[in-house]
Amino acid sequence: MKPEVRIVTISKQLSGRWTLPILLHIRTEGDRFSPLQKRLQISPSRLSSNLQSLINEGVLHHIRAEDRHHPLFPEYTLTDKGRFLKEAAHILSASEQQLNVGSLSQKAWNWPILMAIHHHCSRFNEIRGLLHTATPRILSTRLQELKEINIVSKTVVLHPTPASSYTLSQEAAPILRTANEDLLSIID
Amino acid sequence: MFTSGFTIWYNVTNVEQTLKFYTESLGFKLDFHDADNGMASVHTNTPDCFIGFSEATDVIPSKASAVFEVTNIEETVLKLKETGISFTSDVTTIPGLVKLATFKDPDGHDLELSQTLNGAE
Repeated sequence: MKPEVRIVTISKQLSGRWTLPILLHIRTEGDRFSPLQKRLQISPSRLSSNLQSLINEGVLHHIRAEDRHHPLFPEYTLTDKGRFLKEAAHILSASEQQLNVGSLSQKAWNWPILMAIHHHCSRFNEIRGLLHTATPRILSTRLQELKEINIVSKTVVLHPTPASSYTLSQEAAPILRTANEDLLSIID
Repeated sequence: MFTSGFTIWYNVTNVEQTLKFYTESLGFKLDFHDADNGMASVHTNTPDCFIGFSEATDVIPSKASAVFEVTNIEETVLKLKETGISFTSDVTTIPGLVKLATFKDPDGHDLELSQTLNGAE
């Protein structure tokens, strides 16, 4: 798998309102539902459904009540994939703090779009091609939103045919470069 | 080999509700309560004997009874019933040995009162 495809895939996996916060807050050695819920300030039902999604995606492992040898032992542990994504979550979180525009990972496709542009996909269809499953409508909406918060710049190129060209803003480009390098460094 | 000290740990669904039961209904003393981590323990009236609680999403009620010794089981049963505790058995006597009465905590963990009999009773 090409590095840019791998990076986009990782950033897709970390998208979602609670994915990044859960991975940042869950203890590396595993965690119990109750303390995690209190740290995240999330409703029990929402945490429960998010944890179930992460289990289904192979990020977390749920330890059954009859297999826990002590009530203080974890109910949820990170899988190998989960430990890797937790490291990646720290990288994206640090970049979000530097970008200072709030949590980009909360909305689907923000990070994959930024990574695609970083990897020289400047035309709409090039970005879409790398993202694979994003609809034109959602891609267009996200690009507009990223432009409005000055992370992405849009210019109109006239040759060979008139089209929009997307680049990272001067402020965002070095942050995305570091994020990309840091993600590449943790890929096996 | 062993030092003085004995603790039973239970998974519970709500540590505050459990603490209310063990401190207010049974009268045990709070040892510690860490609300952020959903854990607590109470000190039974036996030295170095504690019951610990940890919140969990799946709680399997324990069938291994924690047994508390009392001096008069009938009086204790009446007193605990006044606090709202429902007993799951009448007082049962094993002649010459012990009288027993069973009840459950809010998560269904089995608990028991025991009055040791001397041989003549």
